Amino acid sequence: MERTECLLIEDLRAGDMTALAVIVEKHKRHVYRLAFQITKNHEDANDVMQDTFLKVYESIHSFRKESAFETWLYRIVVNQAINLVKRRERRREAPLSGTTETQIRSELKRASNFRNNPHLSVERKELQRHVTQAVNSLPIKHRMVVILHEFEGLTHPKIASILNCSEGTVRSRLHYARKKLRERLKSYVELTNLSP
Amino acid sequence: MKPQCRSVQRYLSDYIDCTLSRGQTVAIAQHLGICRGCRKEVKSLRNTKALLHYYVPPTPPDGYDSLFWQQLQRVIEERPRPTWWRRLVESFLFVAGSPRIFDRCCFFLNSLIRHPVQWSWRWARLSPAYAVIFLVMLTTLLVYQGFQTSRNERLYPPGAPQFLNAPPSYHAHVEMDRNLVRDNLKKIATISPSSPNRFVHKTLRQSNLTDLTTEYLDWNGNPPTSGNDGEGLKEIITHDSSSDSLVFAQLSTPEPYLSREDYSQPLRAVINISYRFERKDNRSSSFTSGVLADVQLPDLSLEKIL
Repeated sequence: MERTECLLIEDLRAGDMTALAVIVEKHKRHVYRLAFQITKNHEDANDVMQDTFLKVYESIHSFRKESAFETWLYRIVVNQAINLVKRRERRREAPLSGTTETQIRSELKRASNFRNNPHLSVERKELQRHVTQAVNSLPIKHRMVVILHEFEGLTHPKIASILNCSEGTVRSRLHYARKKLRERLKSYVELTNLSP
Repeated sequence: MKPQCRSVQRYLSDYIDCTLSRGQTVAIAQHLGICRGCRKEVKSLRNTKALLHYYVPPTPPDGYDSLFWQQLQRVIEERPRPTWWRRLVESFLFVAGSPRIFDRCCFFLNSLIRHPVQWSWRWARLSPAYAVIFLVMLTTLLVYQGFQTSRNERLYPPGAPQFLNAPPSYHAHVEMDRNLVRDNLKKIATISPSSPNRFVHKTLRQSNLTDLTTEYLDWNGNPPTSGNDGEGLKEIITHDSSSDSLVFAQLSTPEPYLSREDYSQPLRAVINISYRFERKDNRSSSFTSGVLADVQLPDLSLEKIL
């Protein structure tokens, strides 16, 4: 663990809000991205993000530095997000963000990112849409492993620690997730010499 | 697909991530050199992995960052960091039955009422699992009980009082649970710290363990004086190792006379007796037995004493 991170944690334990602000600033992008990818909508991602940092603030005393702070933080995000998704599924609630202004703005921003970029060809935009859809359509267990491994760049042991499962389970889930993605993106996979 | 290919393909995902050991990587590379199907599989997995670079990560809307920090600050101000006692209460509430558990119960009942057929099917589907769990628990209980019975039979032969029927290789010591006797006698027996020599010496003589008789042995007291307040029961329980009698109470003189309780009725008390068996090989075992005994108090009426 970095020295600055240790100091930040000590300051946060002492109740320093500036330390919390630094931690939020440092990790908010990752936390939001992970929360959004699990919950699939902005409002829920916002709730998860808020609950996560609130829990960090309240439970920093219980962080024993056995793992990296990042792993601990991701574990909280994943737990909060899964709880929220399960609660929604159980109550069969529709996501709150379906028609909210924030969601519309978010979607518009994503759409404009595609539109305003002259380097993106139509095919490339179409490919991005397909890949995003394919990842989002994976079951939550597989999706989480793919997100943490491919997009967050975490190693198998870290992912196992975050998801509270064995390394073998992580490998197996990643393998099956890739096979499912291959099926769903079959037409693109068959093309050779792909360059990202 | 060949059996070898099937076992290799399980590791192909790790192979393209380069997370296999050196030996495994070499073995798979050798196999890929001779197997066209597996080479095709690796290529398609690599292409899939490469395609994920086209994934568009979600980005928060404009102005969200500052808005989020304001929200978080507001929430923290409204809900200050829990103190240790609050954490304790919260964990207690969680264990005792949190709103979440209540919520789950409500949800379960609601679903059962609204979709009885679906839930019945769900229970029926899970019934083998419940049956297995029940059988495992029952077997464990029976095995444990059988083990306990055989152990007791081995240590304490069946028959009336095990203390008396102890195997000859055991030496028996009898100890009494002092607190219990003291608590039961406290109401009627007090001793004055100013006159510690005044006491009634009561002895329990045991004819056998289930039929305790009492015998009034001695009375060294003088008539009580007025205004001599008693102050609780003195430490009175002793162990008489010289015989089979148990000295268990020394009663005070003044206080019982000054109080107006009825001593004509016997005192019913549960006396716990702990038995400890020491074997010659220095191994010991113990158990506790409760005996309900009616202790007849001596006639301590003021008129008779005077």
